[in-house]
Amino acid sequence: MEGSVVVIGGGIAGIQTSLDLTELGFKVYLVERNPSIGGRMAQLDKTFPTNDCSLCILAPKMVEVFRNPNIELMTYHEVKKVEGKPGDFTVTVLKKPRYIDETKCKGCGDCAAKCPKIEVPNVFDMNLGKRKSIYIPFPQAVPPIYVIDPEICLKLTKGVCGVCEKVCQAEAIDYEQKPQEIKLTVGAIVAATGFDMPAEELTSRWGYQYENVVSALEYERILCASGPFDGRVLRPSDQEEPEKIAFIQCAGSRDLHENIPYCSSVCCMYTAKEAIITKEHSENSNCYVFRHDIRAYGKNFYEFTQRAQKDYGVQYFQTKVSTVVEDHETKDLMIHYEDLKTGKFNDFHANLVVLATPLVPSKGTEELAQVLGVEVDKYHFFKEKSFFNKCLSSKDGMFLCGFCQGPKDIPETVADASGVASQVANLLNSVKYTEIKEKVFEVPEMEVKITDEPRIGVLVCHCGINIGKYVDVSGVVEYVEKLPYVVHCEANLYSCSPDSQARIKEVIQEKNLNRFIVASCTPRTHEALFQETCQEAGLNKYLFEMVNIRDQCSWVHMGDNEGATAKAKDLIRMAVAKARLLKPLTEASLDITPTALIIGGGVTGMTAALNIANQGFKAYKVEKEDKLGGNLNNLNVLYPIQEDAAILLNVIQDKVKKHKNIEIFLKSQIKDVKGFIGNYNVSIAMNKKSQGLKIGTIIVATGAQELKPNGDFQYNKKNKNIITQLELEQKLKEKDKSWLDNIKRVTTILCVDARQKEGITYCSNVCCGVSIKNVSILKELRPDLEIVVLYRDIQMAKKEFEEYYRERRKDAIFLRYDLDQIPTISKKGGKSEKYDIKVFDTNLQDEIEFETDLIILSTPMIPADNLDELAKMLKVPLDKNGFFLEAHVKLRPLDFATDGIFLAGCAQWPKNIQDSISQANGAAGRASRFLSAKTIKTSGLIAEVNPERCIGCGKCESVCPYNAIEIKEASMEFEDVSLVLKKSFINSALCKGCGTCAATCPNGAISVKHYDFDQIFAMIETYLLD
Amino acid sequence: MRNLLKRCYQCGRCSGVCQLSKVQKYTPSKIIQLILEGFEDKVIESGVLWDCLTCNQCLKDCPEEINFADIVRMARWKMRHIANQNPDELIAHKGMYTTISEIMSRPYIQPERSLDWVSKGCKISDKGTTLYYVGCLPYFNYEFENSDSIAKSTLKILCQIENEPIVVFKDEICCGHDIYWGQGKLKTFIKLGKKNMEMFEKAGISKIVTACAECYRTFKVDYPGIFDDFNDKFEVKHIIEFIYDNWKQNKIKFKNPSESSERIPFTYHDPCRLSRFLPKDNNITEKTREIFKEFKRLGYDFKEMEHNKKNSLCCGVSSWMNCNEKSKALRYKRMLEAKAAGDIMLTSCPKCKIHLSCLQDDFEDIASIEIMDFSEFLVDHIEIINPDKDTEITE
Repeated sequence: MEGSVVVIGGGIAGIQTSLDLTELGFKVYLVERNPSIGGRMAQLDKTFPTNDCSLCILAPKMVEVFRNPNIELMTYHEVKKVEGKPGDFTVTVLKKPRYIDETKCKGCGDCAAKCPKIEVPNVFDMNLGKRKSIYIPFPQAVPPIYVIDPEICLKLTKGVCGVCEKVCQAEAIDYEQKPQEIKLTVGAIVAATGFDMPAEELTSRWGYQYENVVSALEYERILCASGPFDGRVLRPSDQEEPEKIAFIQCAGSRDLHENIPYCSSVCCMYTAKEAIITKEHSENSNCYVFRHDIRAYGKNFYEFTQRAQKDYGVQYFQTKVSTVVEDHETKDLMIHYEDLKTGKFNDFHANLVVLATPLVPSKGTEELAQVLGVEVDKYHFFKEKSFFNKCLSSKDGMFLCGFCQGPKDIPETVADASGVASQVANLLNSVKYTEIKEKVFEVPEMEVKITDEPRIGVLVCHCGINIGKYVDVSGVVEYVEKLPYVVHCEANLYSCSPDSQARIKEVIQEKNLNRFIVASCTPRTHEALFQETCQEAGLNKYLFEMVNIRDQCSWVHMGDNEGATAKAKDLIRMAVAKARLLKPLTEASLDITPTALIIGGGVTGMTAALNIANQGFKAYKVEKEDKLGGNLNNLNVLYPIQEDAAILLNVIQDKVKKHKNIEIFLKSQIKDVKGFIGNYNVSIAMNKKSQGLKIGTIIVATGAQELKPNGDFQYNKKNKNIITQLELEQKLKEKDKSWLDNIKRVTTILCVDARQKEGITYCSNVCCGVSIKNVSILKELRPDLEIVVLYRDIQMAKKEFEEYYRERRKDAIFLRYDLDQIPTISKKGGKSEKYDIKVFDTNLQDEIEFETDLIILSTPMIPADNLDELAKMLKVPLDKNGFFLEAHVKLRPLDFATDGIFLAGCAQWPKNIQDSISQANGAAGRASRFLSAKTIKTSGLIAEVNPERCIGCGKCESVCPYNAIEIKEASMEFEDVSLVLKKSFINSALCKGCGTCAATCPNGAISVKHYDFDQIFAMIETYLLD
Repeated sequence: MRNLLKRCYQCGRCSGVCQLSKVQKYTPSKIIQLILEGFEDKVIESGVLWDCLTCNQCLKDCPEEINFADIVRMARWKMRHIANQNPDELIAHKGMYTTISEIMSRPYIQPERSLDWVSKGCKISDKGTTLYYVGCLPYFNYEFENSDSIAKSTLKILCQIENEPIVVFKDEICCGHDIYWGQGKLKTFIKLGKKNMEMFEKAGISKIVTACAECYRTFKVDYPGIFDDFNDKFEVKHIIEFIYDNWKQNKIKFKNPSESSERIPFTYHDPCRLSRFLPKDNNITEKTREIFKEFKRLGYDFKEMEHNKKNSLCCGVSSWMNCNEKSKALRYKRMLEAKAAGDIMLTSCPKCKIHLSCLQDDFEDIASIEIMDFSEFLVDHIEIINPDKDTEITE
C-alpha cells in the first residue's frame, strides 16, 4: 500500500481534492496537462450567486497547492499508462517539454516581452486575445513558469531567432528539452478532468459562425477585467459597446439533434450572472434572456434569477429560439422566436448574442478512460460505479470528481472533492501519514522586541488593471516611501503570485525588515497567504498588516482616480502607523478528541458516520426518531434507478448498526454543547436520561421535511383525495392498492407554494423528479389511468434526469401554467371525491377545465423543525429560509464559519439522495481532517483581559457570541487583606477575536490582540492629523 | 403516433422555423400540444394539416427529433378515411398525376411507356444489374416542356460510365411518393412498393439509380421501413452519388466543353428530400458541394444561396398539394435568393425544377435565371478516364 495519490486535472475539483488529501495525511501528485492549474474556474469572471470574483477566490487555493510541501505539482504532464491494483498503482506520466528549466524560471516575462511579434490566439482567453510563442497562460498562473509553443517558435521550427535565450537573465531557456517519462507508485487515482464548451461543433442554426455570436465561456473572458477587452463589454466584430445583448439558453443542450440529450445544469445560473455583471459593467447595454425551463435549483439560485429581472432589468422571454441570422452589413443578429407566454412570433434585433452552449466532457476523456481502464457512460462522461456513489469509478481504487462524471456546479464539485478525499482515506487508511512531510519554516523566527525600531516594508499591488487602472500606484509608492519607519516600498503586478512571495521574502531578509504591509485586495482571501510568506522569511505572522486598496479604493471609487489614489495613500499611512505598534503573537496547540458526533440518522448522517468510522474514529449518531433512515423511511421507489427505497436503506442501515466504531442514540436529542473544536462536551437527552460525550468534531445532518400546504389548493381534511407528494409515496408503499380502483384521472400540480413572489421563493430542486417518478409508477400500476401534470418549469438538471423525463413524458399530459394564474380547484357535488380543475394553459393560450379524481400537490422541502435551538447550541447560523448557512456557498459548502462543525444533506438545502451522499462523504472528509491531524493550532488574534482593570461586571460574558467568556472568582492578595473578586476569563480556543467584549467593557479592561486600542488610535490619529 | 409526439416539451422552435408559417398562421408546436391534450379530433376536423408542406424544416430543428411530417402523413390518412375529408380540390393539376399512380398500383395494370427520350447509342435492356429508375418524367412532358431531358441526360451519363447496358423498364410504375405523403394512402403505397420490388427482382437488379429526390428518399428510407430486406437486396444511388463515387474512384473527371473564358456564377437548390429527409449520416449535400468545388477549375463559380443545405427554402409545393398564392410567395422568396447567387440554379429534384420554373412565367424579374437539373448540367461536363469502350452517344 502506498500513502500517495495521483490526481488528474488541476481545476477546482483537482485542487480541492489535493488539498483535502494532504490534510488527511496523503502525498499528492497533481497532474495537469496544461501549463497552469486553475482549470475552467480560472477563466470565469465572477461566480454565481454571490458574484465573487472567480479568480480572486480561486487564486489563494492555487497558491496553497503550489506552496503545499505534500503536493507535487506536475503541470504540462499527461498520464500515459496505469498498472497495478488498488493500493499499489504504477502510473506512467509524460512530462512534456516546456523548453524552460522549471527550476530556474522566475516568471518575470522578459522573454515574452522580447519574443518577436508572431502572435497566436490565446486559448485561455477562448481565442479572443493573443499570445506570443513563449507565454504563461494568464498572469496568476501556477506555477508561474513560462512555456514555449513549439508549433510557432522560430527557434524550434526554423532554427532562427533565439531572442528569449539571450534576454533571460535566469538562463532558464532550454531548447533541447525532450519529453520525459516518469513512473509514480501510488495507492489511488482520482480523475478530475472537467469539461469543454465546444461551440464550433454546434450546427449552424445557433449562428455561432457569425462574428458577434459568442459562447458563454468566451463571454466570461469578455467580461473579465483581465480579459481581451479589459472587462469592457464590447462585441468582437467592431469592438463597439453592444446596446442589446441576447443570451440564448439551451443552445444545444437538451437537444438530440446536437447529440446532447442531457441538461448542462449550470447555464440558467451563469446566464443570469453574466446578464447582471453586464449591467454592472456597462450602463448602455440591455440584456435579454431567451430561456425555456428555468432550472435554478441550488441555494439562493432561483431568487438570483428573479433579482436579475427585478433589480437589474434583465428581460426574460420564455422560448427556445427558432433562428439566428446575421445582418451582413451591421453584423447585428436577428433572432426569430415565439414568445411562449403570449404565443406571438417576433423578431428580436440584437447587437451581440451569447450562447449557453452545451458542456461536454473535456477532450481526451475517452482516451484517459482507456488508459485508466474505466468505463464511460453514453454521454461520454466517466461512469460512476453506482448512482448513489457518483465518486467511485467502475474500477476499484480509481475515483471521479467534478464535471468529468456529469454536469455540476462549483459547490457540488467541491463537495465531491472532499468526499473523494475521504473515500481515498477509507481505502488507504492503514498508510496515512507515511509519505507526508510537515510544513517547517526553515528560517527561524527572528526576535522582535517592542523596543526595536520598526523597519517597515510595503508592497503595493496593481492587481493587473483591477487596482492599477484607478489608483496611481507609482504615485502611492512614492508617497509611502517617505512615511516614517518605512524602509522599503515597491509596486507589483500581482502580489498573490508565487514570484511575489519570493520577492517578499527576499526584501524582508535583505532589508532586515521587522514589519511588512501588503496593500492589495481583501485580507479575507489573501491575508493567510502573505502571513505564511512572512513566516517563511522568519517574521512572526502577526507582524504583517494588510490594506485593502482594491475593494475600498479602486472598486468603490471606480472612475474617480484622484479620490481613489488619495484614499489609498490614507489607508496605507494608517496601516504604517499601526504596524509600528504590532507585536509578535504566539499560537497555542490543542489536542483533538478523535470522535465525531453526527446529528441526524438519515441517509446523510448514516453515510457520514460510516465514512468516519471506517477511518478508525469513533462516531456517535443521534437521531430524534425511534429508528434510523429519516425521510428514506417514507419513500417508495428511488429515481432514476427505480429501485425500492428499502433496499438502499437496509444496506446502509445494516452497515451502520454492525460497525464497531459507531454508537447510535435513538429517540435522543442534543441538550447542550459546550467546548470548542477538538474538545466538545455534548450532553444528549434520551428517555429522560442524559449522557455526556467527549467529541472532537460535529456534523449536522438534520435533513428537511415536506411542506404541508395548509388550506392552499383545497388541501384540507374534507378533501380526502387532495394529497401531497409524500403522502402519495406512502400510499404507494402500501401493498393494498385498492384506493386506486375508482380513480380514472390523476392530476399532479408542481410548484405548489414554491417559487412564489413572497413566502417560499426558492425552487426545491427535487419535486419535479419525484413527481415524474410517481407518474410512471402510477401508470405501471394502472395503465388506463390518465395523468395530467400542471407545471411551471420542469427542473430536471444533471446528466441522467433529462432522459428520465423524456422517457416518461408519454405517461402524462403536461400542461404549463403561470404563477400569475394558478390553477383553481373546486370539489364537485355529491359524495364521491371528484374535483374540477380550471387552469390557463400557457402553451395553448387557452383556459382548460377538466375533472379529476385525485390531486397530488408537489410542495417544496422546508427545514426540519426546531433548528433554531440546535443552531443556538452549536453557535452556527441559519439562512433566511431556515436552512443551515455554510461558510461560503461556493468554496466551503460543507463547513460552518465555526471550525469543527460541518453540515451535509438537506440540512443545507433540498437535494436528492445522490447529492446528499456526496455531501455526507464530503463533510466526513472535512471533519476527519481534524481527527486525523490529532492537534490544531489556535489563533493568536484573540481578546485578552487586563485583570487589574477588570471589575467583574460580567457584561462581556453576556455579549460574547461564542460563549468564550466566563466570570470566575479569583482571590486577590493584598498586603493586609485578601479579597475574592470576580474576574473575566477568556477561552483562547473559543475566542474568535470579534472584539464585541472589548467594545462593551465599561472599564477598557479587554483588548483584542493585533487590534488593540493603541493600534487603532494610532491609525485614527494619523488619519486626522497627518 | 402519440408516443412520438409525447417527447415534445413545447419549446416552440418548430413553429418559428416552419416555412409555411412565414406565409400563413401555422404552428406545429400548438398542433402537437392540442393532440397531446386530447383535442386530436379538433385538429383533424379543422383540416389544417392539409396545408403542411412536409418540408421537414421542423424536424431539422426539433431538439427531440419529432418527425412532424410523418405525423401529418398519418393524420392525412385519418382525415380522409375517418373524417371523410376530400382534399381533391387541393391537389394541383386536377389530380392527374396522383390518379396515374393510383391506377398503376392495380395489379393488372402494366403501363406501356414511351422510350422516345432514350438517346441513340444508349444501350438499354430490360434485364441486368443496374436500373435507371426514371420516375414520372416522361408523363410530365405533356404539361411541362422538355421534362424528359432530365431522363435523357441521366441515362447518357449512366451509359457513358457503365460497361453493361442500363436497365430501363418500359412498364415502370410509380414509386408512390406523392400518394404516400400528399394523401396518406398507405395501402396504395404498399401495393406499389410490392409491385416495384417484384419487378426489380425479376429483372435481376442489384443497383437502382435515380435522378429524382423523391424516388431516392422513397427507396432509401420508406421502402425499407415497410420491406425489411429492401436495402439488402438493392443498392440505391442518386445520380449525384453515382457521379461522385465514379469521380472519387478516378473513373471520370470533369471538363468544360465551352471555350468561353467568362466565369459563370451558379447556385444550387437543395431539395428537401435530399437535405432534410435522409438519415444523419447521409452526406449527399456535402458530396454535391465537393463536386461544385471542382467546377471552380472549369470556369464556374459556385455560390450558396442564403438558405442552403439543411436550411434550404422550400420550392413551395409538395406532392402536388396546395399550389396557391401562398405557395407562390414561398417560391418567389427562393427565386430572389437564387438571383442574388448566380445566373444558373441547379437542383436535383424534377418537381423543384417544375415549381420554380413555373413561377418564371409570372414574374419577369426572376425570368432570367436558368433552372437546370443536376444531370442536365453535368452531362456535358463528364469525361471518362481510360475509356476501354468507345461510347460516343449521339442524338
